[in-house]
Amino acid sequence: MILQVKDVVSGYGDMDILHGISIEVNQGEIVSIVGPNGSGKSTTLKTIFGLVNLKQGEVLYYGDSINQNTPDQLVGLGLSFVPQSDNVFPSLTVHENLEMGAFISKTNKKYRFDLIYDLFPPLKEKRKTQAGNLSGGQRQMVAFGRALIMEPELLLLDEPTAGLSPLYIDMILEKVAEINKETGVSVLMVEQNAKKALKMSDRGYVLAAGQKKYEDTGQALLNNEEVAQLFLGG
Amino acid sequence: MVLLLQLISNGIILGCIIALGSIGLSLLYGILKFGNFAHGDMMTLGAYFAFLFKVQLGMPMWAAFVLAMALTAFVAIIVDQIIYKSLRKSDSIILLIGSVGIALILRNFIQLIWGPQNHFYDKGIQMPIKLGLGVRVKPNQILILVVTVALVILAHLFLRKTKMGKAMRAMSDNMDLAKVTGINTEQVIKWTWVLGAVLTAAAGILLGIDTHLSPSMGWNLLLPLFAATILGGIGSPYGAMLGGLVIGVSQELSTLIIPPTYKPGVAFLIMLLMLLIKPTGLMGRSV
Repeated sequence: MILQVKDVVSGYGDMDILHGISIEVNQGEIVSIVGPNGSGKSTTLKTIFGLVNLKQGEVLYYGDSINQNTPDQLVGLGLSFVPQSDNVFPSLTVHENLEMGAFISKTNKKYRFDLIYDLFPPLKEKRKTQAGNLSGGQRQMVAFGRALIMEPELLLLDEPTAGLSPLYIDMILEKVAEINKETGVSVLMVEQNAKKALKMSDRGYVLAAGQKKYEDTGQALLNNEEVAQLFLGG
Repeated sequence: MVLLLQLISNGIILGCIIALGSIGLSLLYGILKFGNFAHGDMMTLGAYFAFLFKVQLGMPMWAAFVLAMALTAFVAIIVDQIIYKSLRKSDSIILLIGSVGIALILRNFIQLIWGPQNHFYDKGIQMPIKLGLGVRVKPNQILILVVTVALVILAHLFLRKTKMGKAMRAMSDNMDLAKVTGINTEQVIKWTWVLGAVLTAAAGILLGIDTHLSPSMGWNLLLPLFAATILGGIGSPYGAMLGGLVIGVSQELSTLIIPPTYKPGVAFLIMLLMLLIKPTGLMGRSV
């Protein structure tokens, strides 16, 4: 098991948002977290990455607790996080954005830029363009590339399709599947497009009001009438 | 006409000094999100360190220049680690007020060690060089121009070509994303202080070469420094360079119409106009 979130209670200040959530990700899996707005999906990812105060419970990575680790230590351990919005450095070029993904690397060797440009060909010709001048979909590619440059083992994606046009939504989700297949990176993803996300996921979790409501394979959740009625819009 | 050209030439020299100071001020604002009111006094400190090495210890000027920049950077890091680091999580207004305190401490420390009187790097008079059309410059002023251009190019290369420089720009763009990306933000903050302190120390030394040293030399330039930073777009080091030149030249040219005593008022006026018309500055993105 690559990631284990055990009975986590977390939140901002005195307010708890997660009330005892447990989630697991196995090696090579795509796992989706779906649920209504404000259910704590994003907070779950942020808690794993140490951006939200963990008050109770534990986060284990390959069996070791990572509760106390800073984000740059987590990147060194092989975790990578793509935030939902503002996830590129607008005044840096595409290539510089990718370089920042490899900041912690001591060796200034030629990183896997080719790998990223092969995955996202449109970025190659835009490598010297400032990321702030790209379209929403291209920015998302840059954000993915930045997160993948160190060849992480676990990729955390916070609503990767938020604000994208329908054309790009499918394209980005297909890329997630492709990246998972080609590099073997495990993916834990929070998604608004619940049906599309569950369809491509090995397993899924449905959260509501900071608690886990359902947990099953992606397909089973899609077929579950209760889940469909309550959370997937019929 | 001659007077006009002479004033523009003087303005460019003053602009060089302001620009060097503003780059650091702008970078620090971009990354730490506070206006460093101690920046002018750090400039003074750099000038007096050079005085220590050049006049008191008898070293050659170039060595004094480099050592003074290094020592100022060292002081900046120490101050950051002792004072600002613990304030970093508070509101930026707290950091700003803290920097006012540090400004006072630095200035009084300088006065305590080197006294309130003026000092000079060199005694004697320099014969001006005639540039044609009746414009005269001192050899030192050519030196100021050359050193400034060299330092600005180096700062540019640092920001564009090195990993640390790129990380500074990244942090200035988005601090939270920088952390998530794995950028060691504390390390980058230290380097930002180094770059800011080195450039402002250089500005102070060049000002000392052009005129003389006094404990309030940097403090008196703080208003033009902020004006240049805001004019260029706060947080944008390239805007600060441009802003410095504009403020320097405008201050000198203003003496054609108003008494020279009001020169700092010109910087203030430009700053106010910029804030009213285009608060993001000439090259800034957002405030």
